[in-house]
Amino acid sequence: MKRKAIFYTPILWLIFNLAFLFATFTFTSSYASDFRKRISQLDDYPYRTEDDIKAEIIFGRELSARILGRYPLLKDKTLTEYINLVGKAMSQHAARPEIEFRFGILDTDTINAFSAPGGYIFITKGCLKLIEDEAELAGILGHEIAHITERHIVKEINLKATDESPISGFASLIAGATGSAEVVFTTFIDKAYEILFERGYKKEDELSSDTIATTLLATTGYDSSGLLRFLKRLSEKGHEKDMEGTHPGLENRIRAIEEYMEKNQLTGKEGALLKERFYEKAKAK
Amino acid sequence: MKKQRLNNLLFFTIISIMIQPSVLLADEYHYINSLPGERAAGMGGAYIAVSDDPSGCFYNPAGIALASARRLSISVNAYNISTKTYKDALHKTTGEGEDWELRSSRLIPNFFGVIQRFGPGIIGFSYAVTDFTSRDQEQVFRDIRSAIPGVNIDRYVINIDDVDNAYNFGPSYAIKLGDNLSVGATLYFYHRDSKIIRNHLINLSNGEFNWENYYLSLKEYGLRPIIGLMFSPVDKISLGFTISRTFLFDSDLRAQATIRGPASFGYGLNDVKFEVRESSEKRSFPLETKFGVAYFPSPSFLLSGDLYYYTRVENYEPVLNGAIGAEYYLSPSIAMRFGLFTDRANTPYLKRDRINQPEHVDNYGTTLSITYFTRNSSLTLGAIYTYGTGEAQVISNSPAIQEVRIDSITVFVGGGYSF
Repeated sequence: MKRKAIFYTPILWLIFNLAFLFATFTFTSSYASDFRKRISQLDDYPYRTEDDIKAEIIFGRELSARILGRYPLLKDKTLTEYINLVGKAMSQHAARPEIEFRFGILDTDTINAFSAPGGYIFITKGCLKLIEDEAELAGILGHEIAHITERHIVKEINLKATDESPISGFASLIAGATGSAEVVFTTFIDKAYEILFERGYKKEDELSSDTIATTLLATTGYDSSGLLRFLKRLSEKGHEKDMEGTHPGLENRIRAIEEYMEKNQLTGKEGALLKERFYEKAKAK
Repeated sequence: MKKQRLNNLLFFTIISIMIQPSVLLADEYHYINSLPGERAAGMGGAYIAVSDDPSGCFYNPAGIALASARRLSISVNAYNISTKTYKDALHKTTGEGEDWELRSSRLIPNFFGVIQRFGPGIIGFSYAVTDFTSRDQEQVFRDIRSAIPGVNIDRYVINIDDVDNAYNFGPSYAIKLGDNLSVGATLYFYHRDSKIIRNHLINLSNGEFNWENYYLSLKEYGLRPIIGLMFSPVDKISLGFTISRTFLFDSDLRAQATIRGPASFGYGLNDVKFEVRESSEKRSFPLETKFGVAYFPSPSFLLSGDLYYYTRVENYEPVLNGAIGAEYYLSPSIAMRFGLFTDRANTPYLKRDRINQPEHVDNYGTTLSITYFTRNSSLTLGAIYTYGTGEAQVISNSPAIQEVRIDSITVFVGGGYSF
């Protein structure tokens, strides 16, 4: 019995392959090869283990110590409890229930807020002076919560752990008891410190944190424009230059939040401002 | 290597019941005798348009240009057992048919590969075992018919000791020519080391005996270039194309036969025939062109399909094979893979009233694997099942045709590490 198969004709097979090559060089449109990335290769995957979370908390504690070395902690129990009340309410809706968020006030007139991996968040006394209601405070704290839930610092300093870094994974920073591991740990703390006080986060990370904070405001029951109103005030009063150059232009951020609110039908949606409580707890100081 | 040439070298057979030493190579009638690579194996080898890890060095070197990290990969066929059954190859004196089985079992590392960035592209080095067989069996048949009128075979003892491995190892290099196009090449050094030892002892019912011993060894050295292309015409779709061929630059075949036939065939008491034959004739390999398409609808799901075409070479027919594969992530830590593939024979269908024809068995396989991912590593456990049916002539110089069935199960483990 003789085999019947059209592809056994070499000429047809050749035509088939030439057609493939022709198609290859004819299509000129460009597509990123990101679609090849499997779920196990996505960026946040390497940071999900229990060891990584522990390491992140230890790392954040160390970075917080550095922050407090720059600005002292404001020793005001009532105000600190209030900030924690607002911050923890916001963090209830954050994407990382495994993290216990802690909030503190930095005794400086600089207008800024900081977050360290592992749930450590600080807002400056200068920033509090500019805030006019609790929704604005919640918006600022929500922005810092988002930096932690999205692991912006963690990803940036350990971005190449699976590529170029001599160590594999964030946890090994802590687990390694060798001198070289300690050197690497200190180096990475330096990098994180540089992000907070000199370089700033990546623009897309800042914009992402703004939109997440806006969502958190809405889900927590606050006025969802809290962060937006605060940023507008900063812009109107010309305080952009006072933010240590660590944030992208206010204009871009304001526009991005407005677009996000419009797209998600948050514009004009009513929510709690809690102005009185804010004045009672914070402004009275 | 032509089957006929082997037959000429081997068969001094004086009793037609003598089973052929089959073929010298593990499976020269099929082109897909191994599925290297932990991920590719689970997907039935449908990997031409995926190939974005070290096993791409073997399947499509253009794919390694798209790898996301330096990576080391190894796969091991933890256990392979295959059985080839020739139905009613022998007949008992009662007329009842008796099957003859060839069994192979083997544990072998069949792939190792590593890739990393080098200059504008990705460099790789890999080792792939494309053929592996190890048969070590002893068989005894009793009360078998012989071709000698009035004489039966009281006892027929067959001892088999076969080893056949085909190794490919060498460097690869791939480069992206744009966001959606990459090219790559692999240059494998090819080495085949094959050995067959067969011992046949036949005790005839008239008190005479026949003893035959064969020793054959084949060593081949060559180069196997693979040129690959990977292209993404639209988002989430990848096309792959490769062309390759093995070129031998050295071949050394040695065969020894030692025979002590029965007196009725003219053998004296101490009359033992001994013959040695050698050949350096280099066999030809087909040109292999392979085409694949892969669809990546989400980070959790992947579908791929391949077509492979092998050209006609010497007495072998052209062959078209295909494979399809799927990958699905149950969670970011666990992926399941499934595949189907064909492995059709490169021989023609057997014709009636002819003798010593090569067997024709078309194989079909299915694969299944599960992979567990940790931060930088992966561990895979999988299985490959191959089933084939066809026809053969295992009795030398006899027009009898036997049905053949092949069953093969391979359990494989694999691992990968990104660094």
